[in-house]
Amino acid sequence: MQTVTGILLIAYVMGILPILLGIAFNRVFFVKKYELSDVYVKGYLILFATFAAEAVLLIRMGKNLSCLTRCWMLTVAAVGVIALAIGFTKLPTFFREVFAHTRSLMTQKLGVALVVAALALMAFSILFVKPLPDGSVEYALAAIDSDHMYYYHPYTTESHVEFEAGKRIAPIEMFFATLAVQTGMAPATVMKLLAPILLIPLFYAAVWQMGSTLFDGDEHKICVFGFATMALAIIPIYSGNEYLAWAIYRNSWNGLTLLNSVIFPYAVIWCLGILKKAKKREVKLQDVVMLGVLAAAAQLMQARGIIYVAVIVIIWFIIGIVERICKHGIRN
Amino acid sequence: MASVIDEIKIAYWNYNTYGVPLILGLIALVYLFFQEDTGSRRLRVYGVVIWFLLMVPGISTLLLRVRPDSGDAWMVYGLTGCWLLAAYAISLYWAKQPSGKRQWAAVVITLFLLPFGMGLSFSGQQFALTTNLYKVSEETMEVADAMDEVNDPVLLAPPQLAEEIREYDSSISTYYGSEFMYSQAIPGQLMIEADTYGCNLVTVEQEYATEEATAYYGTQGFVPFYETENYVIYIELF
Repeated sequence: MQTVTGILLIAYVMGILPILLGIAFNRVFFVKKYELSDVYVKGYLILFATFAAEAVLLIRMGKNLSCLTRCWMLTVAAVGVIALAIGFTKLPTFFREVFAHTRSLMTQKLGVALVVAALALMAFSILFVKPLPDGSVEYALAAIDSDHMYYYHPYTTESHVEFEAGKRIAPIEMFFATLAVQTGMAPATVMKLLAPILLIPLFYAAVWQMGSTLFDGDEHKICVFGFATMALAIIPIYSGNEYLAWAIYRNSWNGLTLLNSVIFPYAVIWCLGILKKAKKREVKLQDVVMLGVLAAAAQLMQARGIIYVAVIVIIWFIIGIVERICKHGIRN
Repeated sequence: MASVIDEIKIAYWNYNTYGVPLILGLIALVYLFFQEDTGSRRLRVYGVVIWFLLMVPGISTLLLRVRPDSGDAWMVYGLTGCWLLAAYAISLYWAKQPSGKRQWAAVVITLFLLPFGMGLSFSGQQFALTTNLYKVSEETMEVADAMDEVNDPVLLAPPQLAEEIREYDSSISTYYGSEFMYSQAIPGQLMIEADTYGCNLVTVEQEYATEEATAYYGTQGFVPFYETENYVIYIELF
């Protein structure tokens, strides 16, 4: 019974809540489209950003994992209710769009092949591929056993606090540790078996959104882009090399992997999208807010995540300025 | 000047240690230079700027901190958007092929070239059927279960065992990581390491558990405790 409730809680936090958050975000900023991939990626980024803010604050205040777990569970409950209240009226639109989009995809041979390949690869990677040793489970275990976050060495369990400063401001492992504490499941089960079922689709959703921006919504080309991405992503599977930054099929729970495979590319394409909109003077508040959310989500994954996203944004800003100067001259 | 060039060379080879997605990204960047659509133009400008920043030691080491010897070196993969550029270029190339046959040829060429990107490195070691909720090997579980009766087990073990045993049983401490040594081929050195780290259990692979090694471990107070298909565990008597 505990396992069932645990799985349901993880399904809510990592599956349903991101969708509710994404719908609420689009509703608040009057975004007209409610594509599943768009809603899922935005919702996940908001979820990660929220957790980053809460966890970093509590860790800095010297609170323990039990306290973080209690606060986070209250937050996910409260945020879920608020998001549902905001996005409730848009749920029929969302389901209608999901249905219409799925039907449109399933009428194309390439679309069917993409969905089948994506699901098959995901199942294969979860069931047959060993993860790379990244210490994530050990960090979570050390925190659960001691109730102190990033205080002990993840393997030796000796005091290691001075070496963990970077981890304390990028506590992705604690996201899974809170779920493990609340569900009573082993962190290894949460991270290696359950989380990939919901995190690999996050990668797929991000790829679909990137393809959508790059190819202006041409589904056929987006499918090809999806295949090309998957072909590149399976390199770490067959080569067996330690290739953590791009190991979405092996270590989807790892901060570095999520950062390099999802957040950075998504940030690059999000900025490209803003530049496209700027040409038509269609940049809206949600575009800028999402950059902040991306930076906060990146911070959860890596100690300098905010800086890296800021660098990407600054580069695109300069590109936009230079493009404008080249086209209209310096006075405009 | 020489040191700057050296640093760039070191950075370049270290970034490419684990494959050539960066080279794929660079090839894609070159390909995008011959495309005329706005998306390609913008992405290639981004690619050039970010590569320039990463090749300037002052910026790459101080601002971005992607020194090859730092933990942040991996960020190069994401910042350059190398796989994104590669996937975009592949898609563009495919879309430009006029007929179905040409498109299939493009697919075959891509699939043929990708393995070369990894130096034709193929391995089957990473494939294993998941048989338990911890996603660790059955042998790891067997070793961990054997240690149930040991008080405060502190284990020195081969990396492949040390890296996953705590995921199954967190009561076992291990010395695993780049800061720790493990030298099972030299029994004397292994005993020094066990003593330094304060380990009461030492595991070696079967091929290193020779009679001489076992006799030597015995003189140091370690006796065979448990044996699996691939490992022999020694326990400290006193």
